[in-house]
Parts: sequence; C-alpha cells; structure tokens
Amino acid sequence: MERDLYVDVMRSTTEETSQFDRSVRDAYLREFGPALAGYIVTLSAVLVFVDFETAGWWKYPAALIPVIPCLWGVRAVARHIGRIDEMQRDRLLSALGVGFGAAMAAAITLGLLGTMATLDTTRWGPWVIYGLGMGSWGIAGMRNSAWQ
Amino acid sequence: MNNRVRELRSLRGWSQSALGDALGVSRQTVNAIENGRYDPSLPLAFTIAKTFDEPIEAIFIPDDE
Repeated sequence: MERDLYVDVMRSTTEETSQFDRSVRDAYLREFGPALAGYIVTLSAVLVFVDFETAGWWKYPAALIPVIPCLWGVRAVARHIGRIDEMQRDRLLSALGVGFGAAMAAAITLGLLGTMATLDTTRWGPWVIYGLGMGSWGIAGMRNSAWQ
Repeated sequence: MNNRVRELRSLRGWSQSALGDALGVSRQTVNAIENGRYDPSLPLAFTIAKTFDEPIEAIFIPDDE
C-alpha cells in the first residue's frame, strides 16, 4: 500500500496546491459562482425594470427576487462546509461565530436606537448589520488563516 | 501535543500536498499539524498512522512525555 501511495503522491510532489484543495475550491466556485451571477442579474433587473415609487402590491415580491439566488449561495456555502476538512471547518465555523456575534450586537444596537431613541434605521440599518456581520466573519477568517 | 508527521513525511520524500491528498485534507491542514498549530481528530490521527504504517502512539506524543 505504501509503495502505491508513494507512486501516487510523487506525481504531485512539486505542486503547491493539493488535489483535495483544488477539488474543494472548484466545487465551491462551480456552485457559488452562479448564485453570485444570479444575484447581480436579478438585482440589476429589478432596479432597472421596477419603479418602486409607483408600483403596486407586486413591488414586494419583486424586491425579494434577488433573495432567490442568495438562498442558492447559502446552499453553496453549506455544501462547502461539508466538503472542507476538519481543521478548515473548525476555523471557518469559529470565524462564522464571530460574524454572527457582531451581527447580533449590531442588530441589538440598532434595535435599541430604533425603538427607544426613535432613530429611523429602516433604510440603512439592515445593511449595517449585514456589513458588520460579513466584515467580522472575513476578518476573523483571515486571522484564523494566518495561524496556519 | 507533539508529533513526528514532518519527520515521517520527509523520510518518504512526500510533499505536504501529496500527504494531504493521501489523507483527504488540505495542504494547510498538514502544515498546521506538523507545526503543532492543530491537533487532528482521533479518526484523522488513525488515518495518519495507517498511512505511515506506524502505531498512533509512535507518531503523536503528549506534551508531558
């Protein structure tokens, strides 16, 4: 067995990225790429073709159309987490936990400002929560990667 | 926990990515294990032992030994 392994592994001795890394990355890009493209296309289409000032009840489902490819993106991330190895999963999920905590802290902050101090956060508040959550996830992920 | 993964890999002339492929993990994970920045799970430790054809206790050594 060891001899067979030796023959197999020596083929990739000079490669920086392993076959495992490449297959995981390619599968993720294959699944997340269409989701991102779908989001950009649907968001652009909604912004171009829907006049939200004059539209009737259908402006609500129209505004939610870009969510559909986002859900596909969530599925891609979930499947990616299932494909990566145990250390990558551990570090990705711990970074995700940091992002979730930051998003919750932002949501509580904006919620208190909105309900108690009557600050109108309806237009920009969700984007602050989204940005802080994603940004914190990204920074924590980079910090975790630096440990490797 | 200390380990002899780098030593055993080098003895066989394998790269980190090649060992990663044999174990079904990334090159970064092999690197982190070798540098003591990540302790593998028990199933992965057994896979490493099987790959090197060594008993698990000959590869992974507790800090206090």
